[in-house]
Amino acid sequence: KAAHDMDIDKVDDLMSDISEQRELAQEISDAISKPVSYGEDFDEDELLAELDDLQQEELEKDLLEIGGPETTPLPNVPSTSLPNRPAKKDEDEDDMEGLQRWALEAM
Amino acid sequence: MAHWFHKNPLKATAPVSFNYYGVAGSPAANKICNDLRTTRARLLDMFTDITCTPEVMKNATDAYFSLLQCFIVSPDGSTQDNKMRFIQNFRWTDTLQGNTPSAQQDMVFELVSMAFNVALWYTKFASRLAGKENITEPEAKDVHRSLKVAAGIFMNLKEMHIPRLITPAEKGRDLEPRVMDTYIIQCQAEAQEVTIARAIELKHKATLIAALAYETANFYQKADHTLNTLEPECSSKWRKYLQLKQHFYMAYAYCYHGQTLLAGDKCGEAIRSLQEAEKCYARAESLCKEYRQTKGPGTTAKPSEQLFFIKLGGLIKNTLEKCQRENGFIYFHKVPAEPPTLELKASYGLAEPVPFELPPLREQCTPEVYATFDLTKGAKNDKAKPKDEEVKPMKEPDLKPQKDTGCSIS
Repeated sequence: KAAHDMDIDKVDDLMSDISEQRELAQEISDAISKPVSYGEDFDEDELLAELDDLQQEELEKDLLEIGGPETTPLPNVPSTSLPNRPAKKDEDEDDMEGLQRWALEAM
Repeated sequence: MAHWFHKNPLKATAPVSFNYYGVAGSPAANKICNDLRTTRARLLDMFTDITCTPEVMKNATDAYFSLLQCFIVSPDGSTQDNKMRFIQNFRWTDTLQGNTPSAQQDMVFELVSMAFNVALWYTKFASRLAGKENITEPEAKDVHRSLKVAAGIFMNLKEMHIPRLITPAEKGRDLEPRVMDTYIIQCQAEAQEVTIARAIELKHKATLIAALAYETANFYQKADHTLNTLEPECSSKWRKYLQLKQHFYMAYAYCYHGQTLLAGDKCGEAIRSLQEAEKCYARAESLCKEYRQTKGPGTTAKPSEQLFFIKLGGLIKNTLEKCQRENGFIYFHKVPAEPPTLELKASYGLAEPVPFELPPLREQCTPEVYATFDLTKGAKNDKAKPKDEEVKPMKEPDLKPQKDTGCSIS
C-alpha cells in the first residue's frame, strides 16, 4: 500500500540513500577490521644507513676540529751505534749445534 | 732403536812370559819383566770379560803399555832403538785370517797388535750396549764415545806406530793400511748412526736427518771400496755388511728428503724420492740375505729381522702413501724419471775420532835399571827357550743381538 503512494523519484532517492548508507557501513567495517598500521612500512636498512652517515659526518667534523699545538717532543736519535744482532740462523743449524754439543759431551 | 753392528772376532795371541834368563840383571829389572807378564795377562783377560767397562779397560791398557814402553822408547830420549826392542817374539792372529797367526820379533809389533785389540774391544763394547732393548740416553752417549775412541786408536796406530815396523804387514792382515782404513771409517759411520737416531728422536728437521743419513751412507760406501782389492774369502762377509748399511742409509736419506720435498709442495718429486727409498731398501734387504749366507769372520745375524730394519720399511711405505694420496687430491704433479739429488750438510765433527795417546813411561823404568839389562847374557844359549805356545782363539762373550721391543736411543 505504501508503495503505491510513492512516486518514482522518491524510490530513486531512497535507493541512493540506502546505497550511501551501505557504503558508509562498509567503510566503517573496513576500518574496524583492517589491522591498524602506522603509515607505510619503513625500509630499516635505509634508515640505518642514514644514521651511519650522520654519525660519520659528526665524526669527521670532530676529527677536523682536532688541532692542538704541534710541539710534541720526540726522542733524539741515539749517537751510539747499535750492537750487531746475530743473523737469524735457520733451524737446521740450531739442530746441528744441538747434535754437535751432544757429540762433544760424549767425549 | 737398537742398532746392529757387524763385528769381526778379536785378535788372539800366545801367552808371553817375559823371561830373559840372565838378561835382567837386577831385582828392579826382574820386577819389570814380572810386571809385564802380569799386566799383559790381565789385559788379555779383560777383552773377554763381559763385566769390563771402558774405565777398567783404560786402566788395564795403561798399566801394560806404560811398562811395555820400557822396551820401546830409548832411555836417553835419543832416536836410537831400545836395546830390548827385538828380544821377544810375539804371535797374533788377525781379524780376517781365522786362526793363522803372524809373528814378529818386535815390541812395537806387540804394541800395535795389542792396541788394535783394545780398539776392537771398544767397538764390541759399543755394539753390545747398542743392541740392548731399552738403551738409555747416557748409554747411547757411551756407544757414541766408545766408537770414537776406537776410531782414534786405529788412527793413531796407522799414523804413528805401524810405520815404525821393520816388516810391513802382509795383505789382508790387520795392520795393513786398507784394513786399518776400513776400521777407522766404519767406527765413524757407526758413531754417526747413533747421532742420526738421536736427531730422529729429537724430531730434528728432515733436511738435517737426510743429510746425515746420506753422509753415513757415503762413509759405508768408502769403507766398502777400501776393501775391494782384498781376497774375497776373507772380506766378502764384511763387505756385504758395509754395503747393506750403505743402502739402508741411502733409503733413510731419500725417505727424509721426500718429506722435505712434500713440505715444500713438490709432491711429484717427493713421490720419486720415496720410490728411490723403496729401491734402496729392497736392495738392503737382499744384501741382508746375502750377508747371512756369506761365510766369513764375524757374528751371524739376521739384520732384516731386526727392529731398526723393519721400522724404516714401515716409514717409507707410509710416507709414500701419504705423498700419493696428496698428489691424487691436491697437486696432480708429474713424477719425474730421475731421482732427486741429495745434498750434504757439513756435519764435520759429529763423529770425530777421540785422539789416542800412549800413557807415559812407568817411573820404575829408569836409565839405571835399563842399564842392568845385559843382552850378552843368556839369550844366546837358550836351548831352554820354550817352544812357541799355540795361539788359542779368544773365547768371546756371546754378542747375539736381542730381539728388541723398539725402545729407542736418545
